[in-house]
Amino acid sequence: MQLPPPKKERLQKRDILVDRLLQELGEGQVIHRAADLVVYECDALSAYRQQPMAVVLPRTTAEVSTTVRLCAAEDIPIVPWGSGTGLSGGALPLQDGVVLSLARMNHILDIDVENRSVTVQPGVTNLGVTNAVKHLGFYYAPDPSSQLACSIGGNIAENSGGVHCLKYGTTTNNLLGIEVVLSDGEIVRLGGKGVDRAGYDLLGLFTGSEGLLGIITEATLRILPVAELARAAMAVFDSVEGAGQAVADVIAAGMVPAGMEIMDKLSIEATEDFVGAGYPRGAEALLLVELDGPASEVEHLMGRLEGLLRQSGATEIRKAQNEEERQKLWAGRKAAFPAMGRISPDYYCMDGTIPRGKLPQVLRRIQQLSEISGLPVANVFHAGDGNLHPLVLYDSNKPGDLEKAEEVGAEILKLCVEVGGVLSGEHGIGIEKRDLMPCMFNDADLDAQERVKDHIDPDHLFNPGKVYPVLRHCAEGGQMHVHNGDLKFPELERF
Amino acid sequence: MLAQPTTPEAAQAHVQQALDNNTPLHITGGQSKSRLGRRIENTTHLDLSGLDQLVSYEPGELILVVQPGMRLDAIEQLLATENQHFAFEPPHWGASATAGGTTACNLSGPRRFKAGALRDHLLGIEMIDGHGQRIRAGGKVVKNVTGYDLSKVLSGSFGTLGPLTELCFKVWPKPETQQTLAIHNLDTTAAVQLMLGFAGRPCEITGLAHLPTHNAQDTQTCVRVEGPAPAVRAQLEELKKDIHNEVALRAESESISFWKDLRELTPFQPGPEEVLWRFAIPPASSLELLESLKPFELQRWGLDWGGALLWGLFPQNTTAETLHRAALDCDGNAWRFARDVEDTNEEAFTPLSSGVEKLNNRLKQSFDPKNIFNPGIMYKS
Repeated sequence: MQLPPPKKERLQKRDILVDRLLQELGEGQVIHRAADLVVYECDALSAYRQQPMAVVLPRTTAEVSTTVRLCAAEDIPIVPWGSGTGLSGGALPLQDGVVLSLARMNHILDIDVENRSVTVQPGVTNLGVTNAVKHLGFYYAPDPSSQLACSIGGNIAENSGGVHCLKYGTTTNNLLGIEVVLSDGEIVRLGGKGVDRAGYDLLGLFTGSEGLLGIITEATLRILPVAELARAAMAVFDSVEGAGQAVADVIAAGMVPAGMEIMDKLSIEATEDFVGAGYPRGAEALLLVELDGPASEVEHLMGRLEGLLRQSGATEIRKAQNEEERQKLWAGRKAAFPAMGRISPDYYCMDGTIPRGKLPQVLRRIQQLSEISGLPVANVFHAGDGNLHPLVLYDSNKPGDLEKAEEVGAEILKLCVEVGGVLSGEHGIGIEKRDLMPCMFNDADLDAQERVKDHIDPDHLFNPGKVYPVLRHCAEGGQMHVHNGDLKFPELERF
Repeated sequence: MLAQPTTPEAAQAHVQQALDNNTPLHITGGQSKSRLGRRIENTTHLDLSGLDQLVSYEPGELILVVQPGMRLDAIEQLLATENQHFAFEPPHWGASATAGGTTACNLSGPRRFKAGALRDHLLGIEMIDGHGQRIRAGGKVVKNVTGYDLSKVLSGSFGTLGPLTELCFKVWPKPETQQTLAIHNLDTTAAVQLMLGFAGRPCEITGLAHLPTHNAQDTQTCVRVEGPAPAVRAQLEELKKDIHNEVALRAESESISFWKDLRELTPFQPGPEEVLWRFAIPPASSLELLESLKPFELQRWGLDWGGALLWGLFPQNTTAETLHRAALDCDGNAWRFARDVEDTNEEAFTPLSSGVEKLNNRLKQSFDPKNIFNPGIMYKS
């Protein structure tokens, strides 16, 4: 993995730039001492580290604009930074660039129940939005596993999803408007509190653009009324394929559960050892299903769901009888990643999406890859939308293990594309999967995307070196590396 | 000149020819939305209605892939065989309506405030850009963050970024049944308040419209609930407790035809001296907008999307600029519908702020540097 090589003339401007930033923004808003910059040397993809020249912490949109203008004038690239919880290295600093952190812009600006919207600064956390409106009976639907820490600005940049996104959509489906600072410092508003916008869907373009097109300085989010009732059930199957078939049967029956998650034997065992969620030891696969909505609907559908799961071959079904039991069922799933960290010194987490019908084929191939490499692979995934998170277990202290794991990881992602899926369901491309982009898109496709960047950020001021490969051939990339359970944010749930 | 390709390759050849000769193209589908946008002239007509094939339908994956000329009615019939549908409830406005044309206009029906717009259900596209290249963006799975989401950009681009050659949609299980409460004789303020309140309830309310008439007795505010029959019944009973006016219950078939009529604009067909306008606004601004429209002799009107969409018929000599101003003042935007083929509809869409306009131009430039696709259909170049 290569980042654009640092330019000497930029590095030479470091002191001048820091002075100007200090002059414009004040002492507390600029971090420039090496010891203080350590915190910003990587996001949650900690295998790649790089200290920036400086970190700027603006408090207002005007200060963001000033920073952008200053950097643009000196040809210094900017890496936007939310909470640094991203898993694909999208916020990895550049040696000859500055990091622009939105952490100090963390105020909730407006709660508008009538328009079912909340307007926030980008540094507000995902969960912070829900917490601000919970007392009114509302919540913000996208729920990435890092929601305690991840920021709304980062969510928009990555188009974050979560376990409920089949039914409720990802960030792009729950965003009404943004304010954005462009690479010439101009401040533009896209959308507002209405659901339809005039002109091209620029809001849709900026969402998921991984910090390449502009700096988001404000966001208006759609909030939803909290469902009257949520019920969860766990079903045990003789095979992961069987659990996959059950998911297809549920959808074919016209149900769209709020969440559907599958775990394989290895994940079940590791999780049970770790948190004791009451999962059936020895089972080949389990499926968690959650229904939510009006109580009358959930209760009606729960009975039907049970029948469907039995017909699909579930050998055991356990329904959570109350909220506490529901939370306990989820606790196991949410602990699956850290549980892996206990049984293996290292793991790689992949994030491809496949058409669900290809699950048996993909699982067989993953199993083969596991056998050939000698590395165990645990499978947990968001089954409703086909988003796989295979975890390749390895030991970086064993010579050659890391390379083998990387190979298996790249093979799995290529396989996802081969069967009609995509490289990333929710973690983003960043630097992690950047060099795999040509496996999914040809030159003309990539040209069209990069041309958009060229026209909106002509000098490539924002986050250069991310998402789009420098060399266009289907290469092998790294994935989410975790050594000795050493996640950058160990306190965050990862699922 | 008329070009009617039946393959993407042929469409690409027409685009290449247009690029070589510098002759703009007017891209159309079934022409059922021809009242939208500004009139464009001196173009070669690129008719995509012959690119009408089903590419694949995987009901278990909730995925449908079609060519742009495939007709909406054919698609909906196909989806119905698997008890599925487009959740965004696209308006047809004519039997010839196609998937591509609907996408180009990003048109969504009454369920939009609950289920999202067409752009929320478009997962991937294939198109021909203004460099003559066939390009793909997005994917064919429901969850994907790989690369810029160009499908969104193409939705609602009115053909100005290039002809679409393939569309991948997320389709959805059809609710088992639906019923509608028709509340009589609510005044506008009460109706808007009721809709705003109901939209914030944890119910499967998927339609909220207010249709006033000159005779107050016939004015109705309609609330649609969808889902399994017992759940629909239970929710309607709950909702009724908060309604103090006379209420009529529309059972399934009546409910379906009511919302279909609204979607198809049956109540808003313009008379000979009238022009139709559509305003998209924050729902709580609907009263303010109605107030500001009073001086313009609003003849007939109705609210959909729980107040976020206003349909209105105005005298044909109403100045477009003033109505666009009214929309902007409410943080919204408006569309003026052309009266007929002669109508140039110069100010079809609300002007953009200078920053947004700049970004629009840059995007257009990146896709279509020679400005050959539907030039001027959205805004004066």
